[in-house]
Amino acid sequence: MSAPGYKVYVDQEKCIGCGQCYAACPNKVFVIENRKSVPLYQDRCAGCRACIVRCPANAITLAPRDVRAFFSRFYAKQ
Amino acid sequence: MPKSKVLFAKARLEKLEKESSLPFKFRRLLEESPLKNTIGSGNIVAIKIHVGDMHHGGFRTIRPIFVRILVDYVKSLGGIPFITDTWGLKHVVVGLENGYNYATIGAPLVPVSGIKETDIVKVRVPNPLRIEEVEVGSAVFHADVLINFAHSKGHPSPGYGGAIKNLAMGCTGPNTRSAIHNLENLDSEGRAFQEGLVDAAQAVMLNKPGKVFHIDYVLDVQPSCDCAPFSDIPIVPDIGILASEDIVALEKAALDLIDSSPVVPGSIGEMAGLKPGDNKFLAIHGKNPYIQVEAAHRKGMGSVEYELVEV
Repeated sequence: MSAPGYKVYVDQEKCIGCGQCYAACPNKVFVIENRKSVPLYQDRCAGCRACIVRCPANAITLAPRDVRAFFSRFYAKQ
Repeated sequence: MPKSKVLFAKARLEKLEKESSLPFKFRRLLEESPLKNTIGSGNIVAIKIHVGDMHHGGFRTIRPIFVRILVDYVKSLGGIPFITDTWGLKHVVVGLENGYNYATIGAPLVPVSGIKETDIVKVRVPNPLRIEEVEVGSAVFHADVLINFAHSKGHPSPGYGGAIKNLAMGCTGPNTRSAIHNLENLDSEGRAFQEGLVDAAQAVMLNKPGKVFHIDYVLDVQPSCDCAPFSDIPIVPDIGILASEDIVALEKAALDLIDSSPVVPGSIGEMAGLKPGDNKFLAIHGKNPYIQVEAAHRKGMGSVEYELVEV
């Protein structure tokens, strides 16, 4: 199970280490290290946004990955 | 299976009069639809739309005026409508900012599965193709009637997102959305993903036989999803609004009309060299969107034979 097409970021400055993203994530993307959430297994992210929905610190963002290359051929490279 | 009726309000203005303009045609479409026999006085009516992406980069969602017309019609039948979408309270705020608020549409905006997506009902899928159990948002599950008001557009995962995807991804919890997206890894043509969508859409409708009505808004047919933080120009000119009790016939009709249309100059439809008759989303995304239509038909969710009835 991997790589449906999203990359997840956690802003370590904003993260309060509450673990709500860890609890919500169906694909177990996150680990909690030193009271901060780390998206250690982000190749598993399916883009469901459960982490964003629950995060009380607005610390999490998602970005699509290059697996949509078929579609992205119409657009300039980032 | 007999042909299913698909009502069609064309975007083209035939006469310089308000009755020929799409808002008035849409009201006529609703009046000619089976909704008057579906909605009873006091019924709570969920209207599922997509309220936009979380970053306000996309802007080609359903225009609030059409939601308002639907809300007003539901009220005229004695129904109590509410607007709903997934992603919890944060998405409600996005929707309010995008113009889906009480002042503009005349109905409350309610998160489909609670403020943090924990209010769900687990539903077993009959004869599952890919997914055995679906998390259905409680607001839709407990509603008396569901109006599935979808925006027809492209999507990188199934090729196309319309009425089937609006239910499958938009009325369900994170475990279901994730399970569907995980299916993307299984094949390159999007078959598993689309069959997962069909399972989920069927589960959402399961406790409402005869109480679900589907609408495809075939305007602003952008290449990618309303959830993306960007919007490109549409690949085809505005077509209109389609509606049916039959989700399969509706989706087939919407796709057929999009495919039979010429492309918009300067769009990626033109960049791809597409002509009337080409399977446009297959060319753009590499996924054949008719897979979801045929899978839903095979599951008994509707007919691929339809009669287009212009209002």
